Amino acid sequence: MVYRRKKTCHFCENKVVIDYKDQHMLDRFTNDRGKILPRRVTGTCARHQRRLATAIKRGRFLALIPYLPDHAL
Amino acid sequence: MARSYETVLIFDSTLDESVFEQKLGRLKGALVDDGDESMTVTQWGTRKLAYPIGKKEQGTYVILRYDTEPDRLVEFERLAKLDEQVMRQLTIVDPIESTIVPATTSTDEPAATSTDEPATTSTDEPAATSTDEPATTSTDEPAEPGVEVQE
Ligand SMILES: [Zn+2]
Repeated sequence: MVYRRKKTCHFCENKVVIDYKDQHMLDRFTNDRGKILPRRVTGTCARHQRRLATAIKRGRFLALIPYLPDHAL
Repeated sequence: MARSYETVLIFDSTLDESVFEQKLGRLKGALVDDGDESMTVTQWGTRKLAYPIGKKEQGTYVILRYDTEPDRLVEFERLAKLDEQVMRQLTIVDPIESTIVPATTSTDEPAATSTDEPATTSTDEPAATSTDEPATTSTDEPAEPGVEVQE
């Protein structure tokens, strides 16, 4: 739409509601070390990035995606 | 006042079917009365865990959705915690709609996305699909256009 750029927020663009149970989505937005991908890589807007962070934490707790504690690295 | 909740439970996958049903029934009974139509149960079955919990590599996932009173939720959580065959429990309040089946494709949700601010980045670098980005720990840092992260 108006703000469409080369990279846009996947969740805004497709009107996707972030679900912490969606393993496929959680995988897609974390790297191979289980860390959440930064916005500048994924294009996710600030609001959805916050929700994504919550979803990823829940997904880790539920062993849907690998767990890396915050103090790792 | 009753509110809507969603609970994910992970049971020990080595439980006998009958024992599993019994435990699940008891936990459900703590949350709602028998026949309460607000309760929906979604069984994911047994899946491999992304990391071992205890020494278990697998778990049996159940998702409950229901309306209940906070007091009953407290009792439920106490019971679930006492049960060593319940490996995980997570309850969230006011779950979003229609998320029981993980959606891989976008459905037309009437999501309130209208007020989304545009992304603040101006120069989107191509970000070669490298998934091995040394991602900073912050989940919400302001993007820095033009700054390439070096390996
Ligand atoms: Zn967004």
